[in-house]
Amino acid sequence: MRFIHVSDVRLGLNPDSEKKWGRQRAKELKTTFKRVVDKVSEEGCDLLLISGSLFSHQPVSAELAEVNRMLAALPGTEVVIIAGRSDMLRRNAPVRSFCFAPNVHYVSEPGLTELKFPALNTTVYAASRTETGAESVTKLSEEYRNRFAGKENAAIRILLAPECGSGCGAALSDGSLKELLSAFSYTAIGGTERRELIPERAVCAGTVEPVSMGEPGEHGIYLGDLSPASGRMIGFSFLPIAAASYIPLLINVTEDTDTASLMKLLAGEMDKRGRNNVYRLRLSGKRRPETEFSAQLLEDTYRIEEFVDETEPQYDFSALFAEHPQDMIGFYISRLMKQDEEMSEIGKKAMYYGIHALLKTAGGK
Amino acid sequence: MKLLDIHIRGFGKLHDLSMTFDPDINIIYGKNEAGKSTLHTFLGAMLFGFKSRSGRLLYESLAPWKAKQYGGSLRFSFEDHIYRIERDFSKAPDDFFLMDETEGVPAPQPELLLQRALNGLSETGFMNTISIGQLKTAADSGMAEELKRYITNLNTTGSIDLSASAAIDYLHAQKRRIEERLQPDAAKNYARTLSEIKKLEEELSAPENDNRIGEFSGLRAEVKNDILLLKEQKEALVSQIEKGKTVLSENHFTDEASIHAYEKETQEVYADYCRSERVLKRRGRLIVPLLFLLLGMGSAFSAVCMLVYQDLYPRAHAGDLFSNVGAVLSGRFEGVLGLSFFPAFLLLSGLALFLLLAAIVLLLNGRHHKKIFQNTERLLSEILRAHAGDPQVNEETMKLFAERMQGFVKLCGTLAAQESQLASMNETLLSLGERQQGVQEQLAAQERQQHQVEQKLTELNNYKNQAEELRRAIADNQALKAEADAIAIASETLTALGKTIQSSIGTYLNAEAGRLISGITGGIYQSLDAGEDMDIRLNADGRMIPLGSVSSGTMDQIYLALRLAAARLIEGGEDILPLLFDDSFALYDDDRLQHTLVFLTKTCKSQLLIFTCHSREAEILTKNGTPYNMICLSPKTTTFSAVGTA
Repeated sequence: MRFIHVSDVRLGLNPDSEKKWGRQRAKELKTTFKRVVDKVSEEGCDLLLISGSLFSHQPVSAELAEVNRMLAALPGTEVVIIAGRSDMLRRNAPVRSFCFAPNVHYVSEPGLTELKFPALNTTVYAASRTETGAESVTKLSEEYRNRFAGKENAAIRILLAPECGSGCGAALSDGSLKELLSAFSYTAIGGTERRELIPERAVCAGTVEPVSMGEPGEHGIYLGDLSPASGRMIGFSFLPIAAASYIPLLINVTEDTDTASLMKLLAGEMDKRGRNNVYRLRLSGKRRPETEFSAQLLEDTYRIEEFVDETEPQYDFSALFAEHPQDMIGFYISRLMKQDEEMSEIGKKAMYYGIHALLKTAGGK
Repeated sequence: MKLLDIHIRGFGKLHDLSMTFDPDINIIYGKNEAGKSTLHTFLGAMLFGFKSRSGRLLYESLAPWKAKQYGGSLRFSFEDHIYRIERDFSKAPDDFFLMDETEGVPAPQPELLLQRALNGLSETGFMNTISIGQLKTAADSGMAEELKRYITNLNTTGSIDLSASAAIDYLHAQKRRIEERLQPDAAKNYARTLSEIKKLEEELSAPENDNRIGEFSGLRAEVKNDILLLKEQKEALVSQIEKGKTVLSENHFTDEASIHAYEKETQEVYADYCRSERVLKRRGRLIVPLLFLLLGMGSAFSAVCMLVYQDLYPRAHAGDLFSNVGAVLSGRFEGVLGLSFFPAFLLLSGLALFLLLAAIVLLLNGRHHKKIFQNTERLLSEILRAHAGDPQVNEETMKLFAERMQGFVKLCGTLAAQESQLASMNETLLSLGERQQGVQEQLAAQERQQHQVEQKLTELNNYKNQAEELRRAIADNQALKAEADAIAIASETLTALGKTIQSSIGTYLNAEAGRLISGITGGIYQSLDAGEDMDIRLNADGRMIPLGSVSSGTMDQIYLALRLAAARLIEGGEDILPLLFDDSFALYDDDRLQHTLVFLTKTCKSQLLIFTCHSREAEILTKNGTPYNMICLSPKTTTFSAVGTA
């Protein structure tokens, strides 16, 4: 029984909206989901599990209809969708009265819902996140044990949970979660930004398309194959499918670095890793005080989410102080140092600005 | 500290050059290009090395092409010791070796010692104070500006080169540029957007916004089912009623009354039948009429006989029988009844008539009854065949008939009940219909409600996106504001420092400069006044002359006074370090030069090194009888020729 597990698609999100390429990213979010659906069809999957946050907000009928259209075009695939943190089910949710295609099952009852697929010899136990509370893996496994354990006769049992829940790690280490999870052939968990494999065949799929530097690394979907006879996993792999990755780059500059050579270096590094990826460029080191670095020239060609210039102007304040003990420069340095012994951020900046202004305008320029 | 002598191994265009300095006054004479400025630079390099940024550039430019020969030594006296600095610039721009020749050992803590010997002066300090040049601009108007700037700078920053006001202006320009990038309403808009979000979320969480479409849809389906069911039941009932009615109408009944009427009629017919039957069954039914007939005929015969006897009827025709009988009869009647012929005749004929009539009547009656019997029998037979299945007319079948009629009556009753049931069904259907309408309306209202909810959700999402953008803008603003704040601190500090410096150093400087000016100009100007706004004026016997109004020669002198005052300031009021004059007096006229040199030689306790390409300084000193050391630099030779003191 072939399945794909995808999570936290967050349709409707507008990442990096103030950037020129922000709109492209929003579109890419949509096309990534389309690619997932295509993959489902390509791999001939019998089951598609969406473990929460398919939408980035409470979806309205038009949005549900669009998704329904896409999923209805997979007549041979059963789709199970649960609500997650960003699209949690509220009492006023339009999705409660939306009619999905017959192969699309949106879980909107509270607690654990049992979905039987006899043709696949599979039963999916799923819960959506509602405003009354989160359904964690631990909680759901307990509920499964109380309500369903022993009564099942499908060989494949899958648990679909919107989040792992706090204490997941602790529960694992003391073995209680292991016991609960061993009842399932596969546990599909959502609600995390990074993907994580938990023992006992439980997987947090992570977001399918990253939208910020807080989601580095590869993002995608999991493809699995469960034997309908024994319920054992006979194939499992991760497919990176995201349109772009968020990559932080750290560049060290020296006094000899000028803007042109820096731009060339940055462009080279970004070309090497791919122009479609989103970068945060961080500069550190000491620069010539007159030099000011900016990435404006690169912003048309590359996707730069943030440009952080942490370089410090190469002013050796102690040397300057030694050089100018009797004039404004020396007095300025000593006064600021006296006022702010620890040299806070703003103190450092004020030091730089004052000295820079004095030196720049010295000599009657 | 006094410079004693130097040896240049290689420095710029000078190499292999040694010279000795007088502790008091030295004139270093050389044409342009002789190497005066190189020598000047050498002195600075020996004392300080190449530390500053501009020093580095100099360091590279002065390296002779015989690289190993880059450096030299300088001997100076300080605190009764004689020291020798040796620097090898080919190795490093900073390193030096300090020998305490008096003690015969390398000086302990050489950096500290040198610093003390230099009275804590830095390279920059050296450039800006001890080494005295001249005003850069030659034209009058420019000079006043330049001088004013120097005085202002000195007053507010303690250094001729640093301008507090220019720095502050620069900072303000930077701040303005940063503030232009601020998004001023971001915080306000963010707060507003957040409150809109909160409002919408509150609205949306109101219970009337619950999505109950499913509930109402279910209800509607239920009602619909009920209606359908009831309709089906109704149809079944209607067809049953129809069937019953058909049965009735097939039997030509309309209602119970008609059944009863029919039955009654049939019973009457049966009664007739029975009566007729009875009548017909009577024994002697036929006998009586026959008897009557016979009697009647007999009577008639008798009558006729009597007639014949009486000769009323021609005997010939009748015969003898008749007359015989007649005679008998007449006799009998007369004899027994005493009736004569006529009444007897009447009697007999009457009797005969009566009896014949009676016979006829009885026979007719009998036939009548038979007819009735037959008719009724036929009728009843038909009825019974239809209703009892058995055409035989008897009590059994009539009972059957009666039962069947009962059945019909019951049927009528059932029909009536059914029809009332139908009526109530219709009523129920009506109310169900109304209920359906009600549910439909509620459902429509729910859908409208949900539509609004969706609109609100979309709006909410838009607001949330906006809020996100604004949050980022606020973060950006904060970063920018941090920069602007830093600039403000810098600017405020500079302003405050400027005031402090002005009130401390400035006052001293102006006082000292004033004294020096008085001395240098030979008392023409007594003091210098720099107002709050740096409006500089000179006091000439009580008249305050603005700086722009004095001559360029005076301005030169004022400049000199300023530099000297600054030098004194740096040295804490003492004349400790040597003063280097770099072509300072080139534009002085003879008179001024005289006054200036006299003043300098009289009042300055520092060692003086006067670099010049003129011979005037030497001439005046000679004229004044002031001893000095003359050093000549010529471009061609690398040796010097010392001219002895005059």
